[in-house]
Amino acid sequence: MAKNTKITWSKRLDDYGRRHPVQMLLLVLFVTIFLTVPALLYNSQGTVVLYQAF
Amino acid sequence: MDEIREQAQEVFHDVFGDTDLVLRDDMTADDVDGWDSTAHINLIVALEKHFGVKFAMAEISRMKDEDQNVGGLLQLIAKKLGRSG
Amino acid sequence: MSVTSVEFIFLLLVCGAFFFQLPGRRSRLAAFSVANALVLALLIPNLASLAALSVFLLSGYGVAMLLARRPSSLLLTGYLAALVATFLVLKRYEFIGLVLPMSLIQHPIDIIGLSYMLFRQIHFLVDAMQGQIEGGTLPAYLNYQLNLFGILSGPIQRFQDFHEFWQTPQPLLKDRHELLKAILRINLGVLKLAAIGAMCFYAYDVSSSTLEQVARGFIVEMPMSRKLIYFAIMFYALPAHMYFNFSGYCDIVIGGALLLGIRMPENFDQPYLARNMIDYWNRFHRSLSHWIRDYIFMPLYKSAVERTPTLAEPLSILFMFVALFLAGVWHGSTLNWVAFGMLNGIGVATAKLWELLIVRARGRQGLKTYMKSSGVRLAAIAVNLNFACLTYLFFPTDMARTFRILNAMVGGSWPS
Repeated sequence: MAKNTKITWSKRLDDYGRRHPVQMLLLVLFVTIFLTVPALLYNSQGTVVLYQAF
Repeated sequence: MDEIREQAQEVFHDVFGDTDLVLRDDMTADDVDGWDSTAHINLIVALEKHFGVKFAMAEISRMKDEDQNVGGLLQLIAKKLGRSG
Repeated sequence: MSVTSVEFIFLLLVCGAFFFQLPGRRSRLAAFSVANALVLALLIPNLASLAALSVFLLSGYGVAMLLARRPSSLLLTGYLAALVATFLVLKRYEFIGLVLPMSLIQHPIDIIGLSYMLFRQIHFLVDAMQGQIEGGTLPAYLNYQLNLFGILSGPIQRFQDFHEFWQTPQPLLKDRHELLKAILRINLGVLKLAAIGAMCFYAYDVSSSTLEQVARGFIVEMPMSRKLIYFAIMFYALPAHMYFNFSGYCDIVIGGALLLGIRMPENFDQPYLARNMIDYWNRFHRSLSHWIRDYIFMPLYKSAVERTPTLAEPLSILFMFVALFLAGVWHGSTLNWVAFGMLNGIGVATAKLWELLIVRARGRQGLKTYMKSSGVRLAAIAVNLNFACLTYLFFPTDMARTFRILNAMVGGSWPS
């Protein structure tokens, strides 16, 4: 099976998160509350242009 | 297994035009100059002809994964020939 | 419900939290199957579509089981021909009218994700015939095809990888850090898709609409410098939108799948840093290009190496063109995809030809030196980025609009 294993999603984030678990938790909370929620509200249609073509 | 390795090494020499190439179990495509997708198929066809075996498409594509190496390829050939590794 | 709706993200996180509280394999697989069925119910618009989908999938499974017991190239070829023909009819490819009645494409069937199901089905059939499928039961196959994490727009997972989950649904995330990373990935996916990608599309929409108005004569006397700025925005904004939109979606489904113990294949690897179009397609929508490599290019090239070894090298260029051309027209049934496919085919064929020319002129060692040069690499990235953006001019389905805009750039005006 072609595993596509060559890419590791964000090695630096992995390394940082393991050394600073509290900061990692705060980062996730920050992105969720201050960035993701506004993004969801900004594009409340949630339009995925790509799959509409299929 | 040594016999398979020796014969496979000859095939590698022919396909890659490098008689100094010495096969190691941990060798990967990145370690051999010119081992790209087309050379990979050339190698597969040459190995199939030499050993009289057939590889499935999934086996051929799996060999290019980064966790695969020459050792795995030799073991697959041995398995197809019905010999233990 | 879409992948960036509040409901979907909330459900995903809740399901991820409770999935592994279910005791044992059967209850987990049952829950997963129910989730897939619910998502399918939301996506299927009518009974005709459900019936067509059932025939499509069940026939594929049946033929695969037959091929596994009795390998037959004739059966495989015949079924694949019928499958592709059915796909062309279901997706309403207009060129069918050249050989079949046009009434065939006037049907109420709409199946989201059919293009991806086709690829998964062909992979399953070929691998089953070659003895590479283990544990291919009907429930496993149906859940593989209707996996909610790949049904919309991939990534195209291989059955063998899906079967690892189906056989043993266990947590993949070893500790809190990995869990946080998966949740962060989902959130970054939402950000990329819903915010950054949407803003890029807005920029593209405004700039292309403005240039179309110039072309139609509604905006008179726009200086060339201003037109160039609008064109540059349009030229780069759509590829940027495609990247953020699609990779954002992939981040959501890959991160979400990890919560349920499923490892979906990675689909992107900094695509606009590619040095040529072969490298580009190894970085953009990787699961598609790997499928094309394994089930179109490799069989064609292997056959050439076996039958006509002296012609194999030049034929490899032709096969690369064919493979990427098919990838282009697979995207959709309108003429713009033919242009998109042709440009991508020309791009990869040129890249392969260029490599062969360097090897001929300087040998393998010369190619190695060429590839290591950072100056060459930077120039190659710049050229390739612009070529990739050029191919995206043919992503919108309205080709007439595209040509009107290009006409506006060269000072003409399209009759309105």
